[in-house]
Amino acid sequence: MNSISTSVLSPIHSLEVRTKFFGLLFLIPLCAFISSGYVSIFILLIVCLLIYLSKIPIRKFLALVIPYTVILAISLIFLSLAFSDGSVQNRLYIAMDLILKFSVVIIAGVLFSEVTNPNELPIGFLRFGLPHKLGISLMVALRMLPIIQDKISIIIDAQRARGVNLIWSISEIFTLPRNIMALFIPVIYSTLEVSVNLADTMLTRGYDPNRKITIPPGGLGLMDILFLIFCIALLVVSFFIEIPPR
Amino acid sequence: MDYIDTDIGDPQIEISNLRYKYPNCEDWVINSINLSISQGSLSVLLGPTGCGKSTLLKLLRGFSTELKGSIDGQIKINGENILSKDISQLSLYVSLLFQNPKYQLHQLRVFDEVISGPIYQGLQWDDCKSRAHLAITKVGIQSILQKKSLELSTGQQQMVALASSLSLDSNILLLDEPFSYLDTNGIKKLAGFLKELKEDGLTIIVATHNIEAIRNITDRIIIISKGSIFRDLYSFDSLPTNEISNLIGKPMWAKIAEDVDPDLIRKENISSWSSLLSTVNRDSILPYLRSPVKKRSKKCIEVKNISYSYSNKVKALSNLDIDIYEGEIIGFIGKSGSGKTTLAKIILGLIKSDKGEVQIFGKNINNLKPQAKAKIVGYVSQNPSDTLFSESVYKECLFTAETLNLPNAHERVMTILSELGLQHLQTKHPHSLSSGQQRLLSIASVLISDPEIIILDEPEFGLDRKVWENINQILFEYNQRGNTVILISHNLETAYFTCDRLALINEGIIVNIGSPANILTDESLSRIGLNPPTFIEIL
Repeated sequence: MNSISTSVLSPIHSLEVRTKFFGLLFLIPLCAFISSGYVSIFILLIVCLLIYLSKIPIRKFLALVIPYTVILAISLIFLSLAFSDGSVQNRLYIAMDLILKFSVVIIAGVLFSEVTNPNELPIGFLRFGLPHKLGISLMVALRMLPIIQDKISIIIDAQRARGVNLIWSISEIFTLPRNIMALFIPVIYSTLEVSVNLADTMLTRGYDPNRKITIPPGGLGLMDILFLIFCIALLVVSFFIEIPPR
Repeated sequence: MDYIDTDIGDPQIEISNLRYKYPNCEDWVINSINLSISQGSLSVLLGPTGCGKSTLLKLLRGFSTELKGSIDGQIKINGENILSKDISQLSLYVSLLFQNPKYQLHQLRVFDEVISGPIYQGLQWDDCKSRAHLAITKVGIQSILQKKSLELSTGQQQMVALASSLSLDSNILLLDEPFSYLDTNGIKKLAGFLKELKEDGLTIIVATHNIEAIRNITDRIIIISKGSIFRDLYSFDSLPTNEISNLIGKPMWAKIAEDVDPDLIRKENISSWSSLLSTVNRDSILPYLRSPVKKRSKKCIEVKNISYSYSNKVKALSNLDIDIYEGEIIGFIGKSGSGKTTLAKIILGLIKSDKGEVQIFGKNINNLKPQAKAKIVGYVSQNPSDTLFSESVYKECLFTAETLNLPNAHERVMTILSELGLQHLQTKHPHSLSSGQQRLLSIASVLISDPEIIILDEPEFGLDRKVWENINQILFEYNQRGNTVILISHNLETAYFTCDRLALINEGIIVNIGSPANILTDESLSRIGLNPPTFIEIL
């Protein structure tokens, strides 16, 4: 995950992880899907307002969102034209509506990933009452990613320095599988080594998957409650109001 | 006499007839160890690589079930046999710090790492916080609490790992090669903390090759060989004896002093390597310590005005110029993160500089194909397992020969294995070798193409002095054939005794370059925050 804003503090960042999870990944996407017509545009504007409040640099945010949205738009237009009923205008209307809805999902998802520090997730899992094994596993996986990434780059450099060519070419077609193995095996070995080391560390810190651990306290604050009320109100509006009416 | 601490407390750890062997292994890695460790003492486990030090520490921490081997005997802590105890319960009594600090941080943020132990112990949240804050204050890492683990320097990572161990509030601290990854400053800082912790009454056991770092606070030296206690010493008195020196090696300067005057230890009644330092005849040893400046030959590498920034815009190298000559051994030294490895990667053509160019024998390195580069410049990475992937030692070397289309591949493999003393291991799996043998194999798989230049990244890392002496000898022989060696090291003693010239790098620029004697006695070393090695006082 490309975190561009973990150090930026904003009202959206400071929401409790459960609020962010419910609001951004559940309620707002749900609003988008049950809304229709101009209400979908209204929800998209609300999400844009949340981006503004989160103080994330707009250009960087767009760089993250645009690739997915463009691919999605092209696919939806193609699918609508090919498989929907009615006139071309009607098919394009359906495509636009779906693009709006899915864009809200993508934007809200990216916003959640940008305003949530990965270390909040395991705590969120614990507070949700999920087994701590799940939260701890997620955290260790997140911790391992940069280490493995670093290891892969070291291994690639070491093998390239040994003359291993990793760029595909006709002249090296027979050696390429062997060269890939020269990378693959040390990476697997290193990954195992890192995971064993991290597991040993957890054992030395006294971690026992079958024992109860301390759950850091934390409740929903006023901002969390206001945000959730706002999302629920948005859900009601999306459900009951249609502009233009059908 | 160096010192003897006779003020020994009650035994806190009692090991009786301990034997252990790994699954599917015939030999006992730990063989009939009987040991009693006093409360509040600091003991050092010394011994060659693979002698069983780390296994012993793991068993003391309660890993007997997790290691899944066969175990006999007893380990008692505070009178209780821990072999029957669950590993997680033992965090109340014993904490263990592993060798590589990077892999001991399993949380994403520093504060979460430090508080993880009390959380796993299931304490009340307020107790967790107070334990964590106590450990944080003790180690002095308040300023980095909100940082991500991957943003820390190696020294900071080690301090966070130490604070995390202290937050468990156990009164026994085990450390496995804690100095390996640290530069001289980090070593000094960690040694200082160990002194404080010992004064606080903690029982400390350190497995290390770097005994000099904690010599002033050590109560006891336990020398282990082939899984058994070879000597149990309460002072440094017996360390210089030939019997022990042959087993664990000795500092390079002490070796030279003895070479100059073989009767030195006997004549002067030397009780330790440190006291040897004050009695050596400076005039006679100086010519040996000051490596003769080699006559400059042709330039083989020209680094011209190189600048490089990482993707996060942090500058790694800045307008750096350096000429490297044929047939010399040059060392890149500096603190961790100073730009040594980045410079080596640019020389190897693995990364492209933002500005400037590198010429090797007059050709721009970036214009050469990977195989052509590898035939000219060989690279031995810090961790041998980064490159080893074949099913046997023979095939590992053959892979390089075939990749580089070298003629007479089989003969070359056999010659290099024989030169490096690996012939008898040719059918073994590379990952079944000891760390020293793996290092030799990674050197063999590079030297097989007989490159004119070889770059080694921290080659002495994790090896005992005896193994390093062997590798050092191989490098000298390679160099004497007119080849060039570039050594990247944070071990200043290694750099001094191996290199003809040292380049001191700090924050991406070469601060000083010259003969080892000049560099290590120059004030530029302390200006960038590095301490010179002990023997430098002779100069």
